[in-house]
Amino acid sequence: MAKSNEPLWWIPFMGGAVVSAFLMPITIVVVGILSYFWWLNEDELWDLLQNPWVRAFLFILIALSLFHGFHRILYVLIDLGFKGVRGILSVVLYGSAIAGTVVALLVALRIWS
Amino acid sequence: MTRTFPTPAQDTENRMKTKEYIRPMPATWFLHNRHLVVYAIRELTSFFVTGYAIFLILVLARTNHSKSDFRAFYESVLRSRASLIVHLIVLAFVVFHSTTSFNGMARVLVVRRGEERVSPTLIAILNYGAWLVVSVLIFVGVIVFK
Repeated sequence: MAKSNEPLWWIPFMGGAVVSAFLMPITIVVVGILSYFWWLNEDELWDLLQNPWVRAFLFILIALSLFHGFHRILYVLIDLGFKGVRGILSVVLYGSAIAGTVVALLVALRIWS
Repeated sequence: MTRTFPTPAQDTENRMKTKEYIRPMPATWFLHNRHLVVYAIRELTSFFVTGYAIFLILVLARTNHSKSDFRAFYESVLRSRASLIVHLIVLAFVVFHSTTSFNGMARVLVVRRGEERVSPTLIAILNYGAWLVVSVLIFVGVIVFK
């Protein structure tokens, strides 16, 4: 039986499923809806996003959501008939998740803007 | 010119050389059944989860610029009606993603209490309860400590 690296991708995928399910809806409410109605004005949102704990929270949410999302997008594309190019799609999509995580880390640590 | 006919053995061999049958699968396979439509919508939510994660990188990146830059972003993007509409659409899909995840986890997760398996319904209720508590705590935390 050929060795598979599938379990390696399932760990962040499952982590992302749990973290995005619990935390993404309230993050959307805070960033998109409280801001629109000015219940969180620009100075308050700025201060909130300067907090290291909030930055760490957002980094974890972003990184795991990217792995979860891109893993599922891979299977959506396979279901839509792209099974023949699964290898290329895996490289592109998992590569995007890794690249996005690195960018998110650099941005959260203020190394890159 | 003499015409040669295959022997019975060759004839059988020729007939056995058939191509593997691959069931045709149209790209619209998920429209054939209501459960499949729900499944397809659930899978579609992954695009919204990924897209919003990318948007959060952009929001975070804006805080690495000057405060006046962030103010401009807040006014032009987050305070726009288009942003509200997009956020409400994304929220609807992400909430659907959360509910299917909680229901799925309840079915997949086998928790035993002694000899008996804890009911998947109870696990789902606990998931929803934890989601509510976490969301309320974050909401109140943001409003109170802002």
